[in-house]
Amino acid sequence: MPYFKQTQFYGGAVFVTVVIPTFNRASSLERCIRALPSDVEVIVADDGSTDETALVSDRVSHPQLHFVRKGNGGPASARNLGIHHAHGDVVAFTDDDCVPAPRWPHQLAERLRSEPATVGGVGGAVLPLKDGWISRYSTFHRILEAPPSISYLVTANCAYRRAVLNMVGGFDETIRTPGGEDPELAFRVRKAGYTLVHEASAVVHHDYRESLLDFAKTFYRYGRGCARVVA
Amino acid sequence: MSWHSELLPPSLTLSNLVKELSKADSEYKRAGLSVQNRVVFLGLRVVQRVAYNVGWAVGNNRWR
Repeated sequence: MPYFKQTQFYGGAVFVTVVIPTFNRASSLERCIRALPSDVEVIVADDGSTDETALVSDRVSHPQLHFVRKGNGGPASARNLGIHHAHGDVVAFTDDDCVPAPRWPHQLAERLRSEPATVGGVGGAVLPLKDGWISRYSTFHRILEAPPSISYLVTANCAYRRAVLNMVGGFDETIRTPGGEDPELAFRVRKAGYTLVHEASAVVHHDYRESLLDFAKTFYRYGRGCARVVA
Repeated sequence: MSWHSELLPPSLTLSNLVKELSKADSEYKRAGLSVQNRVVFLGLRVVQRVAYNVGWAVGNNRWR
């Protein structure tokens, strides 16, 4: 697989990379980055934004922030680009419309470190950033969290061992719109013999759009993408 | 694969929708949600189900 690097260890400590795919959400991206601790590597994978996303790197001060850019191809390919540039043993994922809690990436990494090597990934909890009907509904039903069976993880809040991501080849880039790529990756990770766990203390806050049309579009994309997983 | 069953939607029939909404409403009642809250949630549930199933149908046609 030419796309991925070998795992590198830094003094034996678990080193975390946070990968954030982004497309035309400069202000919420800035908010997300500002919430991250300074002792993690942060890779923003710009999926061909045409707004002021490129200027965010000048506005945000973070000692380990890297912007990488590609032509528009969807969040799966953007995350893979982030994985390609990551140095961490653990790669945590969140979205540009999320605000992670202060220790979020460390909590995911610490959970993976405490688990046997057969655990390939961990998901966390997603709470709403603001109040609204769609926020309440999505939170009640834990739409952006792993299901109770933990059969898959959701990239609004999850982390995988980088060696595991390397082994399975990352996200399926043929899924070009958000939806489906999360369970598709998780199923391949499980097929490779790994299990997934949930860490409720690792929290991100998601900024749900309180629009019925956007709500419907989101689930339409989920259905379309998940049909690909099962095909 | 049995993992896929979590993603597979029930057929979009009136009978399935009524069953799903009935089950959801029981859950909402157990959680102590207000009547207004339950009504809104059930409405969103319908939107979610229809949107997901339509997307699934489109995705299925695309990937065959």
